[in-house]
Amino acid sequence: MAIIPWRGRTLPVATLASLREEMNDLLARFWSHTSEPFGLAEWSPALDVSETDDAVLVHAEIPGIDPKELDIAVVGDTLTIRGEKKDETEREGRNFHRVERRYGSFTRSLRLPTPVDAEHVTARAAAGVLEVRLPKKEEARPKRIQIKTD
Amino acid sequence: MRHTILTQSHQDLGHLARHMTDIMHRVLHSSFSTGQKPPDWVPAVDICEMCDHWEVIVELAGVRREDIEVYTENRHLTITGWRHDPTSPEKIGLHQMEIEQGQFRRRILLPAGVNDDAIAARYRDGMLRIRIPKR
Repeated sequence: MAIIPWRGRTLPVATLASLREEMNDLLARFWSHTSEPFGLAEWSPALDVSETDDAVLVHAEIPGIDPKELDIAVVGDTLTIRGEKKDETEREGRNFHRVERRYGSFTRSLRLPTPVDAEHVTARAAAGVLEVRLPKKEEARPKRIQIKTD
Repeated sequence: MRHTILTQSHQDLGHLARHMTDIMHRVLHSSFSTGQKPPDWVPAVDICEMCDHWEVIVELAGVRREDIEVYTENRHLTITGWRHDPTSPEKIGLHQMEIEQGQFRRRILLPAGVNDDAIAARYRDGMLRIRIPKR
């Protein structure tokens, strides 16, 4: 049984450290996707949903997607975002060694937490993040109550 | 004869086990001594080879350009930085939080035969593209 003597003092350690780092990265990436609904779509953008006094805000991660090609719709109490991330790996003359990004079309629907004014929804995108602003209906806005002192 | 072989194998295994333990200790020690804590999130990376260069594509939606750092060291390319909370500071409630925030870091072994003095990076629409020319 041949065992190659381990002579290197720094190289194997460096290589293992690098391997370990890669394993950690892969595991971290694996676990970060477990909250996504498996099987519904190849991928769908991560969403943050927050609320201010007068609006519901939805932020979506859309790196590399042209925001003009997104389809955003509000029907009743549901917001739907549709779009497609163009597959770069198919392009000519490119030989991919690693593909972790996910491509393809997606649909993401979301039940809104309060009634919104669907006529005045606005959307803008910056640095690969889409922000959809849905103004709350008057009855859903918080009413501040003045406290009287005697 | 058979017995001897078994003993030999057991000795080899013993050596191997000791080597592995030694290596693991060194790895743990070396990672402790760098003092780096694991990042909060890890961006997705595509690596693509073209005839005269390599391209590393990193998804960094919502990260500001000034919050990204790219450097090479010891044949590795490191991309690190910070993503701030994309939601409004005036928020009164948070219903869903899927966009990871905080520190990110990615370290990639550079391919052989590249000119690491001429690496160029550009950032647009949440996508970082790093061009690594071949020598």
